[in-house]
Amino acid sequence: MLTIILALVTGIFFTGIIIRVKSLTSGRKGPDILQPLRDILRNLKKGSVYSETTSFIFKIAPSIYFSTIVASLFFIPFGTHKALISFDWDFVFLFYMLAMGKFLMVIASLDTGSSFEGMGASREAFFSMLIEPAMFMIMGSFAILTGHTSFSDIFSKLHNGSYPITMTYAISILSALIVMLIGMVENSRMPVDDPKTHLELTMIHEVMILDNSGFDLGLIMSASILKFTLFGAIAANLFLLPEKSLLINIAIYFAVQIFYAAFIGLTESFMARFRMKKNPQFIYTITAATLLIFIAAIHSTGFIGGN
Amino acid sequence: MDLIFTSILISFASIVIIPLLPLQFKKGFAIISVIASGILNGLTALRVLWGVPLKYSFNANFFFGEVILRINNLSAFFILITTFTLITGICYGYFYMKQYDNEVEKQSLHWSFYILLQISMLLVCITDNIIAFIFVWELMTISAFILIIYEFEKKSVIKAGLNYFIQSHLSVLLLIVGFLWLWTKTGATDFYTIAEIIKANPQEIGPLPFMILATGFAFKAGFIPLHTWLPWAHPAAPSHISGVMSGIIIKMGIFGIFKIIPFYQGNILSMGRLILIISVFTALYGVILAIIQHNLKKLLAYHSIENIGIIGMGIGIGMIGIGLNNSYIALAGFSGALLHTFNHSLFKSLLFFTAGSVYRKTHILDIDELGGLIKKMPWTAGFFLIAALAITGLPPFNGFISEFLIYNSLYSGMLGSNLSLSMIFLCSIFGLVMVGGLAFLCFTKAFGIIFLGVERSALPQDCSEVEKAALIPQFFIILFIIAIGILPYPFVKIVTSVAATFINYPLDESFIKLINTMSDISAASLFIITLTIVVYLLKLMAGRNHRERTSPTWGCGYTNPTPKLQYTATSFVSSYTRIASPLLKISIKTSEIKEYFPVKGWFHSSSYDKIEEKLIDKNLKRIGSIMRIFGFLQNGLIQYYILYGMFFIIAIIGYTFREAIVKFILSSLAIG
Repeated sequence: MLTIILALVTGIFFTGIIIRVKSLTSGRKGPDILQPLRDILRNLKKGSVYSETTSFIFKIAPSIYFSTIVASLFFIPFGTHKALISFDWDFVFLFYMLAMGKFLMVIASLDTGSSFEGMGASREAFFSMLIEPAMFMIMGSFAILTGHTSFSDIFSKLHNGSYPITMTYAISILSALIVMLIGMVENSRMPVDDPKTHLELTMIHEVMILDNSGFDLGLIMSASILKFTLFGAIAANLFLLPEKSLLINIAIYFAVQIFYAAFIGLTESFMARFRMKKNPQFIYTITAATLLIFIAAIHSTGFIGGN
Repeated sequence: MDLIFTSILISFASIVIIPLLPLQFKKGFAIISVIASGILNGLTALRVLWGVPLKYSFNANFFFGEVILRINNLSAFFILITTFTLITGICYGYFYMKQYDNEVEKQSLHWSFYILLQISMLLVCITDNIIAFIFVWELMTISAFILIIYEFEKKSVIKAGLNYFIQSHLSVLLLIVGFLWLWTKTGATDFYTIAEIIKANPQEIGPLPFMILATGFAFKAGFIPLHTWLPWAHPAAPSHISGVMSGIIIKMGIFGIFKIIPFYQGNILSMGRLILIISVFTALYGVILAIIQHNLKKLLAYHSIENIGIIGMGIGIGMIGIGLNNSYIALAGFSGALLHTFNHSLFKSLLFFTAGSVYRKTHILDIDELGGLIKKMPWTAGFFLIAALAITGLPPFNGFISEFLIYNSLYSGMLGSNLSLSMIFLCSIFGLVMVGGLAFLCFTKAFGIIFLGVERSALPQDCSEVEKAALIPQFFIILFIIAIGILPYPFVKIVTSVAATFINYPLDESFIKLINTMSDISAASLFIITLTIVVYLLKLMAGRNHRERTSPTWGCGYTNPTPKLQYTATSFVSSYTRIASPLLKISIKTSEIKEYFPVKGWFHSSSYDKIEEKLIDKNLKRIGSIMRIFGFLQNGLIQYYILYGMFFIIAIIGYTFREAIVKFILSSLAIG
């Protein structure tokens, strides 16, 4: 339960921080930190306009997308506090569930029959196919490292002292970085995609949802914020310390999430978007980096020397 | 066993009766017959799964020796799968074949052979005599062949049919060699006895017969590089036959591999490893080619190859598990494979049925020319969508459960083995994830382009939903797809009881834990479903105050969009095609635009199977050029052919009496 509350609290200010950081670095004052939340609330109150081409797929897709992401928050523990839903290999379930929501979003955008949205759908399907293995590799590596197989068990046993804390922390830092990058690819942010350009030809996620409006758009916007907090929460869990008190852990949690938001803001301020053709290479690089985590994991368990 | 004999009797009687009936009764009678014997077979199989195995033996004749019919858990499981798909197949086929209602004789043949297929598949499942097994296997192959070439007037159909016929007989040839080898070595004809003998002295027989038999079965199942018949045969057959073929006939290859696992007593670890590696490549290759197909049924056929690969992964891991003495890995692997066999038979047959409905109503199978069908055929679209989600392996549908079991065994294997095995498991996980992602791409494309958007070409005027009754068999399939996805517990329990027959160790606690995980999964699935419903209801409540408005799709300022501006299947996967191009063979033909004011242009792209090109076509050409030397023998004059026959007879007689002839020549020389 704790994670849900924390994730929702994070969600309130997450995008606000990104926007604030971006405006500060470009020398503007920027909007209020709660502005994204107000935007969402305004959208939720509005009525929807549907394209004549669309069918029921277009109407149900945002609800399913949103609920898969909300449901995925229930799988994430808070350090030693177990998640509400937890079973062996639950991460396989979680990532497939996210794919389910994405599947519906992709076909919903094809439902409009628009060439722009088709383009976004094509790219979204393509990039999510490429990024898929990375998370499986990371979680697999942590399963090897801890000998446990669910989110809750893995994160509660990670820093319990069976390995030197410096080593597990080193692996955690690398993994957290990669998890954050994956979150950015999943959310179609820089450097893979620039959500703020209004050149439709260059966009992925934003161009997919051109025809969504009102409540649906509100759901999609809040889903993408929650998706950030989901990946942020996974990253934060890598640093929580079981022997420290709850307050310190909550502090660590927020520190990681705020760092993540600021990191995104800074990246978006100082980096240009990649050319579309270069994105697969970037994603491959992320996946290749997960191999480092795997090697570190099997090395620390003594696999290499042993057998 | 009495039920089984009754069912066979019913079927044989119907084969005799069907040609005599007038057309309108033929199909109905065939359906009744298939359902009646299906129920009898199914009841027997269920009884076996719940109770003791059945066995019946009789002394056939001097050739077969003692024939043993045995129904154990494995055969009962496969009887259930085949029965279900055969029944839904014929119920759907009743409506699909309406477009051919003027061809009376052909339909007699078709339905009779459908029933023969049912008998032969049942016999393949229960026959435990190797000689008789080859016979019933052959019977199955031939009846499937007749069913495939229903439209034999079309050149492409007969070509694909012959391709299937020849390659299946290569498989039969390998089976004959393998089984005869075992027969001469062990002197037994019973599967069970042979396995016992091999177990008693494993050194004597060696791994070779197993490898030959497994290759033979792999032909049927469609493992690469033996898959090349499959993408041709599936589009050629009528849709209900494609569904049956992809759903269960190729699964008989899987059944065969399961059946001969006890014949292998060598280094089971390395054999499992080999199967695992081949399967990963099969799965990847299948889906990589599936994405670029334009023909819907060919796309589905390549997906069958992918799913056979996933099933094969389960078998490979299971064997590795046996080799490692780890019952958990073995059980999870085998159960995953078995459950995926069932799951694939469900969603793949459903996909072929819906594809058949699309073809029946539009007469188009090219994905690029379809579009917007969801408004005309909402039920068909919904069924296709659920089947597509299931085949992609997404929760809460059945494909996820079996893939979860396989992931489970892979990850467990990675945790509890040595480094080299860990690496193989890691690569397999990587492969399986990639397969999932690629299937995602493929089915978003297939569903999105066929059913969504607006029509890309002119469709027939009367294009509408199929009859209500034709939806009923599809409803039943959907029911199972969802039931297994949401309540996997009983189904997983059944497959584990089948898988447990391969493992000699007691099932330890960890496995009970795995079965319990299934209830956790169903809880999680139900949770998502409830959440979705709640969110949707909230949306409806929020929308109460607003009138729902519609408008044209936002064209980003472009005011006059045409259907041609939509994304097509080709453009949807173009970025993928660019990356995968080393593995593909795509030929593009296009007209060059030269003038400033261009005239009508065109673009055509087609793809070909690279393995088929390198392995089959090239070698066929080579064999052909050698064979052409003997072309003069075939001169069309019947006198010559009689002469050849005579030469052959003389040569045979000469060979038989060679000693006497040599003696005679020598003695005459001596006299001389």
